Amino acid sequence: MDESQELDDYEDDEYVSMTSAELLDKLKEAWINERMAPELLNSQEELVECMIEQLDAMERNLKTGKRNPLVNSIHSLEMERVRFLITSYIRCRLGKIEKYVVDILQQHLARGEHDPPLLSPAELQYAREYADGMENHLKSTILKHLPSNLQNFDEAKELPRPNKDKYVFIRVNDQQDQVLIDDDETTDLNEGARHIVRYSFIASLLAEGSVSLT
Amino acid sequence: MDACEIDFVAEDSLVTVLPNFSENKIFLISGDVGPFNPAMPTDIPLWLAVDLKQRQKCRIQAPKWMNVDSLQKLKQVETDSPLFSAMPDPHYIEITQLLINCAADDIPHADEVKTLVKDIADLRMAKLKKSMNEMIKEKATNARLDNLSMMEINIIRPLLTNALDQSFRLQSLQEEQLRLAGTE
Repeated sequence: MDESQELDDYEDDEYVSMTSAELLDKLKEAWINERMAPELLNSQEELVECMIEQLDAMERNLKTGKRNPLVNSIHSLEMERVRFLITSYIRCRLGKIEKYVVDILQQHLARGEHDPPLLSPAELQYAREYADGMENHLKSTILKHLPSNLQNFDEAKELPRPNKDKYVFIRVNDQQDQVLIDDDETTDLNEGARHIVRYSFIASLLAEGSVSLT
Repeated sequence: MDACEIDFVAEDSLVTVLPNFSENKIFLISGDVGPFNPAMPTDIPLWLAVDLKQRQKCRIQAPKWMNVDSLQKLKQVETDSPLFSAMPDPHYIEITQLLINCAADDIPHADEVKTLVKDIADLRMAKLKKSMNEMIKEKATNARLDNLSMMEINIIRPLLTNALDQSFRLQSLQEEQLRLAGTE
């Protein structure tokens, strides 16, 4: 703990090492993006796991170390802030999973092996259990009591889906030329500029990281 | 997002403080801070500065832009220009509020500074409301808005995004109707 904290983050079989400060910044950006986006974004499972490891290491150090109370309380304060960030991020994702559970499960299963996953393993399990629970609940409280010719419930037609045409505020991280930002308008996105556009036009740029929501 | 969450993001900004205690470097997750020596200025995150100030362990130095002269010039620029001018800090509103609340004794002319920042913020909100009004009336479908701070965007977010969403939905319905009428 007496050297600056270096972490290793596995990304697509590459070794990407970043400091804990950079990890925190990335997690903060992921949190803001997730809060503002109308649909569930790709899982940032590695960032969250790394951060939780950091917190655990810090907690162990605090228990065993003999620092004075002021320094301990400063560390605790920061740990509370980081915990808030992580829990708010996960809570936001779970809220979206509960809202659009069947659609999200379909999307997740449709992803190829080399695509970034939509759900973390824990989220996948939660989504499945939630979907099953809801289906059983609806069947037992309502469908069972309807006349038999109405008892077939075609989920595919009635799925709640996120509104991808919602307007969002974006901040441009990397210069992008000739981007379609409207039905009939392309423009250059300059670094540092802020725009308000429909989410569907920038969804792929957001997944790459060339823009962030603000 | 809530205003308090925007504050949370703003609290990671760095401010200079003058500690009145001694301590070695502290290795926080968000970066190293210190070492702390009495009356030696150090840069620390705002959340830590507010905490130390409340424990009376430091004095906070006002950021370079938080003085009456600079703010008056800024207010003049903002009044004269029809567009939004660049603010000295992307979280100027939040930082001013936090510092004036806990460290008013460390900020010279705190009352005047508070009034000036509020005036600038009000000027910008008025411009923002006016341009929002025009944008909704013209049914604009996208816009560029550099130099807006996160807090200002958060304030207008509910109204602007919902209004644009609704106008898009109505427009899509209209186009759908026309399309159906054309095929009949």
